[in-house]
Amino acid sequence: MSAVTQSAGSARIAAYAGVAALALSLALPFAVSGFVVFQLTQVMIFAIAILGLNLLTGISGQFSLGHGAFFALGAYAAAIAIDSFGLHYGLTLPLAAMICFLVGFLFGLPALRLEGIYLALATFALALATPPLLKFSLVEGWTGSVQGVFLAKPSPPFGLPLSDDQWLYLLTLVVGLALYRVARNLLDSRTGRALIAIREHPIAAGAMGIDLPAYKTLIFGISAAYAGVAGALSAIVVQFVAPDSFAFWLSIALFVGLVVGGVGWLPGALLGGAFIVFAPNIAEGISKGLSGALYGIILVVLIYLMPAGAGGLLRRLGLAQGPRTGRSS
Amino acid sequence: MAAAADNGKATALLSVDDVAVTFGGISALNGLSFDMQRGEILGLIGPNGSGKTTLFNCLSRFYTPSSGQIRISGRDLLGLRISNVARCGVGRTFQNVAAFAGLSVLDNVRIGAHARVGGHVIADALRLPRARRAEQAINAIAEALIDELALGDVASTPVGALPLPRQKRVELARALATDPQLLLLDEPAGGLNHEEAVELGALIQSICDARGISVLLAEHHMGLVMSISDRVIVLSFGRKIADGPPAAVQNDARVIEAYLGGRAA
Ligand SMILES: Nc1ncnc2c1ncn2[C@@H]1O[C@H](COP(=O)(O)OP(=O)(O)OP(=O)(O)O)[C@@H](O)[C@H]1O
Ligand SMILES: [Mg+2]
Repeated sequence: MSAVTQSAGSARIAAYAGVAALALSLALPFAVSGFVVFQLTQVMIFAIAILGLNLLTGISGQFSLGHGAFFALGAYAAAIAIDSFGLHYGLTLPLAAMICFLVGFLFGLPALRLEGIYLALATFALALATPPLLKFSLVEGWTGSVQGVFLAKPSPPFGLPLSDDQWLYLLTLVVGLALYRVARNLLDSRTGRALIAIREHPIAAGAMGIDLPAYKTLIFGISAAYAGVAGALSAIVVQFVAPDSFAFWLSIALFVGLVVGGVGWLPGALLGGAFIVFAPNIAEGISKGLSGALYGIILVVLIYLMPAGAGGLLRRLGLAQGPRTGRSS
Repeated sequence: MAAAADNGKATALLSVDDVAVTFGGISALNGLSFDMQRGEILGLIGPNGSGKTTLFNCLSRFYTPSSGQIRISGRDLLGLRISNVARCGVGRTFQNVAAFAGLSVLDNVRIGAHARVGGHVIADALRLPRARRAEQAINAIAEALIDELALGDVASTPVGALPLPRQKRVELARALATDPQLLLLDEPAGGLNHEEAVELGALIQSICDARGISVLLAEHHMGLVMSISDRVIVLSFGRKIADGPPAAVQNDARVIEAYLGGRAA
């Protein structure tokens, strides 16, 4: 009984927090400088990629240290589609999603044989291979090799009275909200429960008629598609892609963002994104020479204070639901 | 004679024919054959390590026999993928509880309805009307079973937080949510006292009668097996040593010998 009222209470708090966050995020781009708007856009872009990683790791229990590769693939797909084929930038988002879904799905097939840290290692190899592949001479004509590809900054459509930065911020916000909604829907559905069942007890899941290989590859593809959309948005917003923007540190950063936000807690993705964008800046602000070490210290302190990420902390305070059940029931 | 036997096999719900399973030289099942009719409660007994769970794992397609055939409603079970076994009407519980421990009782039972209520990931992702209808159907199935098995008071409790007998009850509800024709129960009375075992027996019988389904009951609790089984099969070292009505099996010299620890002749 009390569990029910408590979860109804925390659901109401979550709803208020959601409305307040939405109002704030709509007002923000008009209250801060263009550069900060650009940074906040990047926070949301990383949050989208982390959201995808969370579907993979938090929900289905598979690990990836290679989502930077899918991010890069999405970014390059968008850049090449705009630069070489004149595609409208808005259409590059579904394009990147489809390409990355397919590649993620195909990568997921051999990955089925791998569990836990072995899967993490295989995905890490993918991350390591990305920059050299992008510099590879056969694809140079499209990828521009080391120089990368430059893009023009898109202006707001319909003559909207917005700066370019504000427009891209709002575009990213809308895409991010839609993808968050999709992730929530999945989590609270038959599909989501099947994925959680696989994580909780794969043998029992099989006996319930859940097709493990199909669901594991499916979620790998969906997760990669999220990273791909984030990558495409990043190419559009940064107006530039180059191999070294997608070195393995990006994959690590996404994983760190996932852990900081809270594995299994979807809104944590935003905090993870903020950590990726701001933690290095803060570290550099304190001491230029020691920024790397300070970044590590900030990370250690955060993990110490919130061993289960921000989501875990909120859960302890009774303000968020557990990561395991998709919904209050 | 042969024609009659074939005919019997075609109409049997389950037909196990000369099945053998070996693990690195150990023969866990050896030349096992039996049929099960619809609506039958078939007791499966035998000393520890006699192959009961191994048989269940073959029926779930977790193990593939080295030889032999298994048919379910006339279909070749060994040609199925694991995930299609439930769709062919085989539901089960596990000897060592295999509930989704971190999930609520309700979610566990909902997952049982996974294969029974179809769906598509795109419909789920976009919460299309189709997905909402599926969700309602799943909830209706789960809630009815939770009522039937008296789990209402713990519906939102994580299964891992419940005592073992209740976890087994959740597994039973989850298995029933798959809508089985054949229900495999692996030691459902483990950890129950005498009264609870009697109550469980009545529950299994009523489940079976209400649905007209068959139950294959692997159990060490002789009182339970002998009171509710229509027929009992006895395994010893992977071989069937007796097959008949409870009263006859109980008095079979070979069965008594197997249980007294002697090697079956
Ligand atoms: N996966 C496996 N690998 C190796 N040996 C196995 C495996 N599964 C079962 N066995 C062996 O097969 C034999 C039969 O075991 P099984 O679990 O089927 O017996 P059981 O009748 O269910 O026993 P219990 O009453 O103790 O549950 C045993 O010798 C066991 O050690
Ligand atoms: Mg056993």
